[in-house]
Amino acid sequence: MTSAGDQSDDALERLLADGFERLSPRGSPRWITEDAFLRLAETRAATERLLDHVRGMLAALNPSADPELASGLVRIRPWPGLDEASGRPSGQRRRSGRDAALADVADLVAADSRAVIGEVAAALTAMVGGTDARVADLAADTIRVVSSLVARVELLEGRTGIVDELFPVPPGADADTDLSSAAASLASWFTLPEAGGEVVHADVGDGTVLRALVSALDPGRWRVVAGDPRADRAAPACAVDGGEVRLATGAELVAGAGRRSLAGVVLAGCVERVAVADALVLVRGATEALAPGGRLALLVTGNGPLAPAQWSRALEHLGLRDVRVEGAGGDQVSAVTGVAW
Amino acid sequence: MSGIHQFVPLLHRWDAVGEHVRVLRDLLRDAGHASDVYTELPDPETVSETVPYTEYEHRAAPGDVLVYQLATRSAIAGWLRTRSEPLVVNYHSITPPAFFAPWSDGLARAQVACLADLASLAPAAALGIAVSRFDEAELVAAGCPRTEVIPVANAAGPVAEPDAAELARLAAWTAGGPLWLSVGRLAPNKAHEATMAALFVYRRDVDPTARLVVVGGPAEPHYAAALQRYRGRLGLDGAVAFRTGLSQGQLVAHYRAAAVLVALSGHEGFGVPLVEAMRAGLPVVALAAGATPETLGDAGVLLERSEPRRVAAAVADVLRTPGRSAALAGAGAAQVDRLGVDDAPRRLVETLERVAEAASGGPPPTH
Repeated sequence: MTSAGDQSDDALERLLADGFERLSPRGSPRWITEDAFLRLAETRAATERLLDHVRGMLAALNPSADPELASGLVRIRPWPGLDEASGRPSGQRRRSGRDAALADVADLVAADSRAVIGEVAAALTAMVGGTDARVADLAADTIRVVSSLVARVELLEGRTGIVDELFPVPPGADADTDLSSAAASLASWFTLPEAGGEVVHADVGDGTVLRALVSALDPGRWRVVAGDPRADRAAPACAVDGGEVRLATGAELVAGAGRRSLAGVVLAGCVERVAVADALVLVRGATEALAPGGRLALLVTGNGPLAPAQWSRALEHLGLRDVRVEGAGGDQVSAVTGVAW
Repeated sequence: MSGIHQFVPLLHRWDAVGEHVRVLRDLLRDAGHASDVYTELPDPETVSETVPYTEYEHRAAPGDVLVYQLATRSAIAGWLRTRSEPLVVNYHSITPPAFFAPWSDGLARAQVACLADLASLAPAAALGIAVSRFDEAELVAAGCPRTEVIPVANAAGPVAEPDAAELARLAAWTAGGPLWLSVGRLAPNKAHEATMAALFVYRRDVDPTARLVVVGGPAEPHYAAALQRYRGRLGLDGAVAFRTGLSQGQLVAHYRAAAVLVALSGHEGFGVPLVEAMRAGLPVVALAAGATPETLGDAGVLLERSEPRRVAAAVADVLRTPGRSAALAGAGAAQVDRLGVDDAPRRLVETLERVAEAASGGPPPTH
């Protein structure tokens, strides 16, 4: 038999383990792009070994080979544009994006790789036939292919939002705001008879809002996933029975959900600790993650970069309906809420 | 006298295999052999000590023995298969690809290729030298017809004096709190994150003054970066320090200043830090994986799993039970003797000389 304390400790251990695994870059645009370039480099090395082999064979078969042909063989260097592309300043290739772009990047890399390999094979065939006119073309073609590849990757990255590395917790951000009065009314706001689904709660803090949510929402229809980027802040929330706590930022929680998939998002405090532009990126991501009829709630004190009334206008601008501000204002917590169409 | 030359993909400083190679080269030269280190790629720090392996072709001499230090993938493996000189595979274990897969597909693929190198070279080797019985089993499974277990050459004593300035710096940093130490490259199999998570629990439940130093260079950049971010998320920025490039005296200072070595690596071929800790009289809490149980023996606490609470409880038991640390320290000294690490340099040289003698028509190598 396990005690509530054991369960809380088990939840903490899961939080610690999952929190590190989520830092793995696998699957991120940056990781996939780097891996794609690495695979190109590996394939180039294999192609060069093949060319060395062919050169050796030709030399053995015909030691007095046509000097022009021999010269052409020496000139071949598969994918000479690759070094330049791989060596670009990291800032040009490191910006992250949404999962939707990832498959496109991988497909493009694969398709362009196949094209290059096809070109190399065709050129080799032509050379063995005694024509080296294709050789010079091959070098130019490979430069074009790799340059095109880089341009496509950057185009795709430019179209996507920035997700990673945002919202670090600044020093001094540990003080918890008293959310007890807002928590109960917020929880009741979600309890529509027909509603259900997953609610994401960022900046779980001491678990006040999480506790209110899991006690108000039917666990048969609702799932509440909470997160905080600091383990010492998230650890107390592990004791909340029925909630799931992750070591993650608000941006990571929202990015981990699919588009139009969430029944609700509660952002507590995290939108007040960062620059307005970053906060708006987070809120925009949250609205895009809401399913039709899904609800967004921002718990703000007015001490952040935007006042509750300004957040209200921001939510309307982002396309939410029934936007309201509830709370006493001033230093008290206000809930700015809206519903997705 | 025959030449006994070593081949290694890269010769790194402050790396277990790299230091082993350098020590063995010096021992062979002291014994009167021509002995050079051939590499696939130059390391800027050691380039003056190495020769490109492709140049061996022009320097080869009758009676040479070639020793391949196998731990990572290299084009050298394929080239060695074409050579007629007697080959000794000095095997340092291959980290399973699964450890790298979440962080770098390239490294994972390289490890797969390295396993293929082992499978193709082992059957052709005149002798396989494993640094542990754990590694010997892998050599035998790969088809190596003759094997021997000899620890790495660079674990032999004597121990350097601790750097006094480093000791003072560590004393100021820890301010009387217990210092955890973890030594190993920042590679996924080393599981430094498990040590950090355990420290988080230990500080919360046992002693909030405990701190950790992780000594090791970044072997996989994504993993190393994740460790830095994880430290922040655990709120341990002021309690966990990453150090690399330490001199021997600075490293010994860490072993002296620490209260415990926490070694939660999921795969070790030998475990040089375990020996270093045992020599320093430092108690060890370790995960029972790879060659760690064989190297540590009964001189430390071996854990079947490395959940944070379990590790924190084990450390608390070691540090807070009167006499426990001293008992483990005493057992450590005896275990170092049992491992025969001080005898390893002599055995390595004699074993390689026997291979050379056998190749030149002398008496065959003995087992």
